[in-house]
Amino acid sequence: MFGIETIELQYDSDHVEDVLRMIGSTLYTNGFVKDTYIRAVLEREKIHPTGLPLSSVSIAIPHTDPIHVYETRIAVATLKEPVSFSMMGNPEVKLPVQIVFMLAIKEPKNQVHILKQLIKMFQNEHILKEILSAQEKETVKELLDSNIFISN
Amino acid sequence: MKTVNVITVCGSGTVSSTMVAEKLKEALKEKGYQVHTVEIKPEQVLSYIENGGYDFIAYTTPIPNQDRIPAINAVGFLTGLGEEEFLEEVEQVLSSLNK
Repeated sequence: MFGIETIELQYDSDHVEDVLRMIGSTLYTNGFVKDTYIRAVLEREKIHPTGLPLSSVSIAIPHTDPIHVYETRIAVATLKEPVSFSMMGNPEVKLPVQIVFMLAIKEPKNQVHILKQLIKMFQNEHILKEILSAQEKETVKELLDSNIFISN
Repeated sequence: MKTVNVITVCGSGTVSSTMVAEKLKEALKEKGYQVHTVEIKPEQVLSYIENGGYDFIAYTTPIPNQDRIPAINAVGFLTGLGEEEFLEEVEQVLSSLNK
């Protein structure tokens, strides 16, 4: 579900499109998504933005239709400086996003438990702060692995 | 147990709508409701309403204007910050439907 090759820490950027391309390319070069995925995410983010204001930090959960995905994976990036994303459900509101979880979900119906755990983790201010301040990709992977389980 | 039928809507009709649906099932189960959901895209909303049988809509992305069934913004429910407000709105809708 998580791996250091799809984790990027303290990425320095000032534009949402650049951030999405960078994270999307980690998914693409590692074979988790098709070559159509990044473009589809960019298009979707413009129409249906995914910024979420949580209690201590704003995050974004860019994603697109499962048709662009080979294998379920969640790529993560922390941002050196907050990048302005539009808010989900309310596109005119801009949020200073600091953590991006890019979701490549193959079968939403079968992966309900992953999505539920993700939402639960978003309520946990402590974990998000630890992810944000992490200096090692391995630390982020361990934090996520211990909060998001794949059950069968 | 009372049954509630909900349309959940997000941009792709998959990820966020599924998150809202699952969270809603858990929250309303505690209040004695069994929740059935369909997860759809905004452009499917009007045809689903036309088919009938749904009590309300919970959406995380703007949906077409309609006045057939109540629609509630579920983004705050997803983030947890507006969870109580969302559930209050849901309860108001359900009591107006005598459920």
